[in-house]
Amino acid sequence: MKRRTALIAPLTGALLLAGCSGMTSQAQVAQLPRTDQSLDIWQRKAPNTPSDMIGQELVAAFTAKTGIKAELTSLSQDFELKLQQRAVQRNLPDIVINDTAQLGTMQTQGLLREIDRDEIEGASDLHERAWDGATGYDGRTYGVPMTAHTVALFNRRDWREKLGIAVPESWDDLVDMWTAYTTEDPDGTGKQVAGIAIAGTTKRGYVSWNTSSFFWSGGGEYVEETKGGLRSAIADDGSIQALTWIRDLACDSAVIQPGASSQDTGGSKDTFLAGRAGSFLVAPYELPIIRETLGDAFEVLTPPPGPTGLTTLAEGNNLYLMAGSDSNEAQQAFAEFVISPEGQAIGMAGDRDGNLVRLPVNTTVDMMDTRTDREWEHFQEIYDRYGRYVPAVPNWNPFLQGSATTINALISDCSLDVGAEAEKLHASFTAALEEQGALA
Amino acid sequence: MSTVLDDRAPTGAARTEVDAPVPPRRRRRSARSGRWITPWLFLAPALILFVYFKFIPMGQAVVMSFLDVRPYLGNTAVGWDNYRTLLTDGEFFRAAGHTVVIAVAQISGAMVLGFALALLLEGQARRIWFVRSAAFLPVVVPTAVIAEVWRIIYHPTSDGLANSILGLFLIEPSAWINSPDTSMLSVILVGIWRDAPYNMIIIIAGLVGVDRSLYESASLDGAGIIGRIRHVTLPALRPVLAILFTLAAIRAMRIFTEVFLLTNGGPNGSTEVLMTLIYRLGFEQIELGVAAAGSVILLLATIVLTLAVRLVSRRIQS
Repeated sequence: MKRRTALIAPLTGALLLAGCSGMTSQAQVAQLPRTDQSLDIWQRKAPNTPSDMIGQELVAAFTAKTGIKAELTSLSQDFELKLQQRAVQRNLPDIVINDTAQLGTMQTQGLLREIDRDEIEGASDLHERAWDGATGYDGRTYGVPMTAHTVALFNRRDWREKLGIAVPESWDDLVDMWTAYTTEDPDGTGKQVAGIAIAGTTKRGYVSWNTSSFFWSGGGEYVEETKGGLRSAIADDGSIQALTWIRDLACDSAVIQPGASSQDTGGSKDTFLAGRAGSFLVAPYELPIIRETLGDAFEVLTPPPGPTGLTTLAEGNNLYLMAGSDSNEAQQAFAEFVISPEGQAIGMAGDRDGNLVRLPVNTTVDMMDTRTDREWEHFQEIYDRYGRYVPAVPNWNPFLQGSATTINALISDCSLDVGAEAEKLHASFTAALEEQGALA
Repeated sequence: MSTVLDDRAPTGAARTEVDAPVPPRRRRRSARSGRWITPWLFLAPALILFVYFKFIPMGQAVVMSFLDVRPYLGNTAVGWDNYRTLLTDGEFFRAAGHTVVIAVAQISGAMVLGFALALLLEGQARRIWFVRSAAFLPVVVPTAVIAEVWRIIYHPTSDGLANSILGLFLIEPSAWINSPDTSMLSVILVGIWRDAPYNMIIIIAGLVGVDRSLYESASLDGAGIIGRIRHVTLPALRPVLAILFTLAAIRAMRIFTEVFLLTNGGPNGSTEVLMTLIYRLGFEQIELGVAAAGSVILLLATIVLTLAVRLVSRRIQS
């Protein structure tokens, strides 16, 4: 009996202690006087990389100009996990620089301050389209856009020309070109190479993110807006056709690199850089490193239109002004600095690797003032004409994860029926929409 | 705070320096009543750390499993909802099934291989010492490194390392971790490769304690190698094997790093185990309450399993 009490007592104590710690709701935060305000800034970039250095330059210039102390931390591994830990400690960073697609996840957890655009100096100079990426499902603004971009097809020009293939103008041309890469020994080494390198892992939803441009161009839709809200469109005919086309890249023409389904973006980039794949669909932040590695052996192509035309995934980074900060004025000052022509120029970093601002969001900035690689303009054109942000749902994460799991399954198990898998995904999309209160 | 020697400790081994918050004079006066406190003082440093870093977080997980966790908006109690969500979703049982398959296959594989290695590498010779250290290497290499090395070994083209070995035997190249048919086997092989040397070392230590004369008498009675292993070695190793099984079972329940890095539960969920599922729910889908419910179930399962293994091994011993 005594022994049992001895066991139960610490457990009860632990439960009581646990119940009391860190479980209260948000309180209003008293603001520091402006002169004492300082910023703790996080960006989702690997430490000690060119992006980290350019971030440090940006923050140093901000401090020099405004006198506000700021410290930048670059983190890439488990970024969301570390942010959660800080949320539990109720000690969030003051500013988080992160993907536009993360807005919903952070906003639904109450981590973000709402932005009043009228209060931000220079806000009216920004592209209206960039503000789209900072707007939540409820139509309110929860971030300040910092950079925008879309994807284009990096292709081995030397391989294409050696095999005498014209620039692809349709999806059939594209698959023919990739098939030629896999069968006609374009690098002359006799080693097997792939048509296209794709990050096929489910991690962070990479495979869905990587194939969404093909998915849309092939007639697919994740969700569709109706009068009363949203409905899942993932099992519609267009979506199934698009998913089938993506699956066939692995199962029919077999032009995707071997092992794609367990590779993340780093792995697939290395595959392309090492000459083991002929194409790579990626955003311009990889332009400097690809230029450095492959020189003039590659070209940047506008992806050929699919059955329903061309749509490319538009994305970017926002500055998120985090809740619970005691330095609201400093937060705003940093946002104003980053969107100013000066801040945008530092972030663009000329032609250097590690640029934080890919396509400037400020309409008064001409990026060719600081850059020489003309391909940047190419990206700007694709963004302006074909770019499309992921649908505004309250929280995009379950949709990204769900579609990534399904596409990963389709490209790694060719015996699966696309229609049946799409139906399963449709059920989970519908459940997610209902849970988020957005179902029609 | 003064440091004293505990003069009431019965043996030299227990004469250890401890921090005693009670002044010596007062303690002497209440020596009788203070006796019960002595073991607790010895235990205090460890207990305080355990309470703070283990029991409170564990308690917190139990509390969280009944909440919709939103650190910034305030949590709301949802009763058994998180458990219901978890248990009505087929994924949890699928992951539990995969965990059991990996556990059984990995533990038995590593045990058999570890035992075989131990028999081969038992002894004092210098050569054996070197081979033994080499065989032990996988244990000291961090799991993250092991996973990266095996990703290279498992490269799915015909010139991948594992596939070129298969090629020697005229076997078709395998997709290894990239196909749902072979991904589970690939993960299990890595686990066996890593755990077998650990078992080997513990079993070698156990073998030292086997009475040599038993082997001789068994030989005289006409027992062959198999007979000697079955009737002499294995019974003598029973306590060692019991501990190895307990530890391996607990470790296998919470297998995470190698699966996370090799396959991340894929392809098509074919290697999803409980821990990768909990990680995904908690840190990718930010469903901290549901993830906490999963952790609590895993904790209970681990406790039940540990007690079961202890009970069975005790029964066998008696």
